[in-house]
Amino acid sequence: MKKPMILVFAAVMMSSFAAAQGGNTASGTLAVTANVTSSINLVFNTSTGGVTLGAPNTSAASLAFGTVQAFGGVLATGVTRTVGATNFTVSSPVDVIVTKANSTSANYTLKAQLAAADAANTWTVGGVTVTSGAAATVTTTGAYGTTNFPVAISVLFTSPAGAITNTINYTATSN
Amino acid sequence: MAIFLRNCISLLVIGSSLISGGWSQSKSTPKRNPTPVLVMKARATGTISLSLGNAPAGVPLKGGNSSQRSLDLGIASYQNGSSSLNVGVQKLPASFVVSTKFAMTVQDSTGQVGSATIFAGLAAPDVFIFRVDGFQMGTAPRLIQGQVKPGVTVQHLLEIEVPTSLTEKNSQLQNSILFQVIAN
Repeated sequence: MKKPMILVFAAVMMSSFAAAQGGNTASGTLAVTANVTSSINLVFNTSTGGVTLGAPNTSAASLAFGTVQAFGGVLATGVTRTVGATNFTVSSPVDVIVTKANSTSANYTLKAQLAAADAANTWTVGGVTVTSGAAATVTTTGAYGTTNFPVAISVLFTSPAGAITNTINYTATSN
Repeated sequence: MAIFLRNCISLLVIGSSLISGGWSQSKSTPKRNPTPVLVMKARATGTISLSLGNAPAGVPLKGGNSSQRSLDLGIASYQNGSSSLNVGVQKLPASFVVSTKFAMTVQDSTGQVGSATIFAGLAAPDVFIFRVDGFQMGTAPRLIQGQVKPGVTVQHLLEIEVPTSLTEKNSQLQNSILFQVIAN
């Protein structure tokens, strides 16, 4: 007679335990906040038909024209030479890639400035003369994406032979 | 047949005793404490809790209630990343992912819960993509961890993917992740 009683008692216990476990819950809340701001990025890349840049696809690339001269000689691949009455100009297309993120900006303003003064030679970016005195505006309506802004150096015939080294600082600002 | 009836009577007597706390027992039976069945139920119900805490490599959580905390990832952008400590930013072609870690502990004051399951979901739909331990969050709760031992603190990775197509107008991130723990 005792055996059925024990079985029933165990069944009731298990039933109660299951019911208790079924309601055994907890909850938590993690409120998450962040402020996403707009941003733009500028990198240089080798342009089709231009000099192969050093460190392409970065914001600190290098452009080496190699050995250039007013007349004769062999120019490096991608270098174009134009000879004038009193000077000669070497140039190369350079791709400037400006990318925007989380922004409604339609276009950007690009400015360029020489890091060091160069009284002997004339530097241009996208046809705009660039000096060390102040940042020159290359464009006020730059389209986001890839744009070719040629870099050129005009060398006077009267300038002595020697190395030409400088740095052009670009600044893109979203409009 | 006689045996069957006796068994049925026994069943009824025991059932009645459990439900009424023993008051229907014979007067000759000494008064007892509540039956073990009822005691067990009282101990088990509502014994587990969830505690949200700081991870060593995570953003410090705010809020006094351990189960209701807030996490501020600060300012983040695609190009400049984040200046907040312990906030990572990974660039993708058309988005970037802001990430940090936090900790969770399931607590059981009775020690009777062997393991628990954690579900998580968003409080509201969002244009940002929330992931916890790689699981993308929606408004419907989804399982993120199945066998959580009570008392063991586990770090979790929170990732929020921000499409670069979102603009200043809709790039303010504010949502809540709701966690639910169920004892296994």
